[in-house]
Amino acid sequence: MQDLLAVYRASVRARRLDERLSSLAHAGRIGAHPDARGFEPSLAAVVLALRPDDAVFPGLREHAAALVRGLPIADYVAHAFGTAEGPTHGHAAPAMLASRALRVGPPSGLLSNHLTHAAGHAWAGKLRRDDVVTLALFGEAAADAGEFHTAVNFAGATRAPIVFVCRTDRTGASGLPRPVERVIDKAVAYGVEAAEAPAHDVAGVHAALTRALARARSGEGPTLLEIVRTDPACPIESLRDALIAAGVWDSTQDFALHRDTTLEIEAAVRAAMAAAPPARASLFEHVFAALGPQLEAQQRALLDAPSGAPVAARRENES
Amino acid sequence: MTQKNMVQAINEALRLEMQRDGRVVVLGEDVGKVGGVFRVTQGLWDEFGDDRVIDTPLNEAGIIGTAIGMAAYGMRPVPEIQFADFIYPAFDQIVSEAAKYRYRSGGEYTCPMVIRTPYGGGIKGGAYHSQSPEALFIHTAGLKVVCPSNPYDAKGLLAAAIQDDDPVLFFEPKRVYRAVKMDVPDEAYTLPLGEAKVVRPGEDVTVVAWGAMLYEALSAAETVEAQGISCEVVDLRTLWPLDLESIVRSVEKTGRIVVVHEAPKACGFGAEILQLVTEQSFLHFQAPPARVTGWDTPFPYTLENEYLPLAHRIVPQLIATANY
Repeated sequence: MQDLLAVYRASVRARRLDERLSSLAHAGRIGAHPDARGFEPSLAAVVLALRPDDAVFPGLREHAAALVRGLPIADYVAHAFGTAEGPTHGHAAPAMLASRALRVGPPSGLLSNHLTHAAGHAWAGKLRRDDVVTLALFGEAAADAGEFHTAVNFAGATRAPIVFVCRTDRTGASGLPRPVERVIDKAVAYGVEAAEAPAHDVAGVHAALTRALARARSGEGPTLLEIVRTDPACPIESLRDALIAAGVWDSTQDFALHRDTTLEIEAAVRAAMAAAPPARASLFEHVFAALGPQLEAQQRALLDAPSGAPVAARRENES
Repeated sequence: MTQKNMVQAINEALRLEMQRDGRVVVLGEDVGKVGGVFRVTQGLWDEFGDDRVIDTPLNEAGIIGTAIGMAAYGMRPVPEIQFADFIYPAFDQIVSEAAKYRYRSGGEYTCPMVIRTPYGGGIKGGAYHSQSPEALFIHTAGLKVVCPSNPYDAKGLLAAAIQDDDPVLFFEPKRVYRAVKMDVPDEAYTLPLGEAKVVRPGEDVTVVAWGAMLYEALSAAETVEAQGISCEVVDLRTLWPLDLESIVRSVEKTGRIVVVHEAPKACGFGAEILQLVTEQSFLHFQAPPARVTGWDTPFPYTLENEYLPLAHRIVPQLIATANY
């Protein structure tokens, strides 16, 4: 049985961070932050079930995966503020986190594109005969987009060691037209094993993922696991209540966890707000391994030009 | 040293790179057992097996998208898009993902891959087997674009592209595939990306071309030579990064420039080349910079020789530019 306390702690950290970053985004201190509240325990449960060598390809609203895998809150916040110290050095918007060391792949701003990368990553592991499973995370809407079908088709065709994990939220009425209610029904056509687990049942999510990982490792191929949320109650509070009822957690510990997490986040926010923005020249970094003549010339032109803000923004600040 | 055509030279580059580096894999539609529709990958499947020469489902976005994942894993994928006209389903994966993988991950992940694809007209292929979409990829930050004109360059440039740490679009002039044979060393070698080559020295007009149109430019240059017009023909070889220095050096000698490309005129790469040269060499110009290109129409089936900027259409432009 998985350590539910670890799942709970990771969920609280993800939630507090999401709340803080969303309020900073509302206040205009950082760019738009894709709020990912509502699936923290099941997300933490699947990510914590992986081995360190396994890889995760999150979508835009599964950015907590990097946190669960061990990315420090300070790095996460520095990234959201776009400082030079952040993991992407100011190149990418909030939630577009990536870490090679933690084996967290870069999410895409396009709904399902990362799923095909995950399928290729898993396929590469199989071709290299490595014992590595790739986890691909997405929300149900991504299953309407083309690359979902491409990715699941390729994964099915190559029997790649991959688990697609879909978050499906049925707590509200979805206005979107759908050919079928369940995303897993789309897996069947591609020869991909389908599994379903309720989001509020963290142990059940973990058990379903464990089966999918075992299938992947033994060469039986991919699984699509659909985690369905039907209970509008906060899944983190439900998990906390269950842990307290089981006698493995108490309100003093809970207070300390929230307090420590808040202190860690606030220290990170203060540091990020005090950090200098990336150097102007860094606009041209990481485009290519080496600049090349055209970018060298443009970098010189940038450095020769004055800095400034758009005219409209400047007028707004003056008034 | 043996006489080889471009198909053989590219095949040899792939084989040597696969022997040199176990991370290099070839994937695409029918590239394995069949050896590719143009037989460019013939024999590779027999030598390296289906773990390294991989037949994929017929889905270009999937070919490129999975190749991105393979590159993230640490491999060196060389996906083939069967015709450049089929690249559009993969366009999103190329421009939104591969091109920006290094940048938006802050260098955490890179995307070393070479997308090989035959391009260009002159084979009675109609709209879906004839286009030249190079400008779309040059316009996208994060991609290198290579287009060889002959077997020797193709072999060396492809090896360099495979060893490069960034995504490279490798456009192969299908009309040249078996039309040109030349001495190509049997052993491995690379030619640096980003270096143009003056293939015909001259004094009066600089002609810039690449791929299959190089031969049309050379033929036109020969024709006008009889009328006393000396053309310097530059084969770009790599389109991006652009070897502007070589073009500028030539233009500052001749004072005149004509760019030739198969792609449509509007926003074609010729426009960018001419503007970049203008910024540097304006005072050297003795004639307006000019282009001979495909028309701004879809690529035709029957009238492709009217569409393509063939020698007979380049000649009048060279004469007009020389006598301006």
